[in-house]
Amino acid sequence: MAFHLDRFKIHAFRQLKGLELKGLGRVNLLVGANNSGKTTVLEAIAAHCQPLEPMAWLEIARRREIKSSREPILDSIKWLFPQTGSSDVDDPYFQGRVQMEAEGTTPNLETIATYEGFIGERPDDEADWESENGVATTPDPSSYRERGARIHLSTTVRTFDSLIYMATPDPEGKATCDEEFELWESRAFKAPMREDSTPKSPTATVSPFAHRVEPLQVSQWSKLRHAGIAESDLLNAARLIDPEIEGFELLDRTGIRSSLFVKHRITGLTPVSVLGDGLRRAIAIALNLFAARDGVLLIDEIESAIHKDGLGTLFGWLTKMAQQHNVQLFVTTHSLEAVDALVEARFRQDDGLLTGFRLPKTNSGEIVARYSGSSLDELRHGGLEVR
Amino acid sequence: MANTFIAVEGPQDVELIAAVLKPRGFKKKVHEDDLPERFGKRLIRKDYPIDGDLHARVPNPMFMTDGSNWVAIQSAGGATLELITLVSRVLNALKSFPGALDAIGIVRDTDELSAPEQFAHLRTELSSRLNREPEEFANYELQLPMSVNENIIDGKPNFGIYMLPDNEHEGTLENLVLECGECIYPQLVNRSRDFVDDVRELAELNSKDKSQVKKPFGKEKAIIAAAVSILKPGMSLAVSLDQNRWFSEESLNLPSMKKLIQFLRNLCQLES
Repeated sequence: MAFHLDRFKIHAFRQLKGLELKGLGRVNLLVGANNSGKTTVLEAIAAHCQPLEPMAWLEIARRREIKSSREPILDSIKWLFPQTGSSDVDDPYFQGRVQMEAEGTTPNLETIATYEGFIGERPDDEADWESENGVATTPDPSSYRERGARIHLSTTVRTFDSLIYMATPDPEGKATCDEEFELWESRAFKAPMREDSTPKSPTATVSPFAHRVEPLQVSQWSKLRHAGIAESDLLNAARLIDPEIEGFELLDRTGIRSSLFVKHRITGLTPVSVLGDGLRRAIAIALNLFAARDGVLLIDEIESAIHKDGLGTLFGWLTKMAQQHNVQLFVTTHSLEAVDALVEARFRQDDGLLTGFRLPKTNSGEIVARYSGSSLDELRHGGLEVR
Repeated sequence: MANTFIAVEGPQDVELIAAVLKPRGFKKKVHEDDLPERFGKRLIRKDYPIDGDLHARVPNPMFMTDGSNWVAIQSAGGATLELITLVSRVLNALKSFPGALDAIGIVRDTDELSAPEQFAHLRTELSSRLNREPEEFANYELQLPMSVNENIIDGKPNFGIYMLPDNEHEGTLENLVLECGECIYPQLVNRSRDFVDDVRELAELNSKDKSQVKKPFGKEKAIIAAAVSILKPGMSLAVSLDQNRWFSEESLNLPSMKKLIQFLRNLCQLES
């Protein structure tokens, strides 16, 4: 069976080099020690699936950072590129290259991004100036020369896709599309306005703390309702954690912004923001799953906020929905209980599509280990470690 | 320096292999901290209770080292299917670590078919499992030995299969133990045999009892059990094999034991 990604190779992305995941399945479990690159693999997939979307790259670059202590966007982006080990972390002329390739039904066969640092005269656009407290200020003209970076994004698509994306095929039957933009040290980035026709796939990411970001849930809920997703689909996910939930409402009580509420049999209309972490996590996963229909859903630390006794039920629902909505799942975990729950979910669904990957520790001489669902079952029923 | 894993059918087979390794300077290691990170520690079960049974033993390998080489010997708790499952599990458990496993072996009784047939059947089933999915064991360069006469093959890891009792004749571990027993405890074994012959046909044994008495290799097992009950009253054969003199210098020189020793020396890449 062909999936969105059947094979994915990271030639270079952050600290990962030459990491190849072959034989990908419907549900792909990534395990490994800290710093082995599990989250980085999710980021690389997210970038590859939206290769010409500057905002997607910026979002990926910023996802690890806490909003209150973010690096300048220029630096956040720079860290997506393999570092050279230079002692000058502020090297204004840093150059980097990211490269990923894939096989599967994805329109994107190869993604290449380059970062070219420079010092130059920043375009004068006072309205875009950022200060530390977020209030726009008028810059000192003497400071117009500053660090910048030119980011070039390119993706290779198949010939039959080249007409859609206005790309010219080469003799090998592939065609390249690209996008370029500049970032400046102290200037907020504005995405270029253009038609949304770049080669990409529906992609959604659930970070370990995504369930606490309420505005995200409101916008996702609205989009899903517009896209025709039934409330009952989301309700089924929420009821796995709390069977007393009867429905959802989007309410604007303050006249400033809307919030997502649940209709609860005992507590009545209750804002999602005050619900338990487990329930909010289940809702966040469900919202993102539907947002990733016919694409990929990336879940970092899938066990986050879910009690071990609820993992099996949630994963059973998740794998069933992933099949139903043609979503390819990539999930990371540190938890053996989560591994076991996924193995069990696979058998409950009678679906041989679970695949596991143990990522090697950096510079350890270890190599990627791929486990079929049967291998994972064999190992875990033998009481052996897979992480 | 080599790391070898050997899958055997039962706990008494574990002691047989251990008995061969002991004279070569191998000692058992029973503390987790003593085990190599990328070999022993990845092969230890961490789950309890096993299948919910509070009294079931946690089936871990026996680890032995001579200070340089490591050998892990594990009972599969059964024959072909269980041995193959164990081998597959170990290969999966170590596939992140290139060079962690230098050799893997299977030691099986020849109790259902002739040695060549039993070997061929095991090889076919093993091949089928190891090729279950194309990428499953792609981290190794695995080959399977061709026949009882070419029972170790080079690869990464090397692979060996040995058919008890002597890689040639039909039989089990008990045949080998009896042979060693006749060498070390001739009178005890002979009298145990007389006793077993005497009681196997007792009239008081009903058909259900007799079905057990007449199980394949039941007589050999009974003779050894009778001897063990004298040497180590109330203890299992595995304990007796470990603590009595079944495998001592004289019996290790028997031709059938020499064949097994040669197989293990080659598989484990030992100098002596």
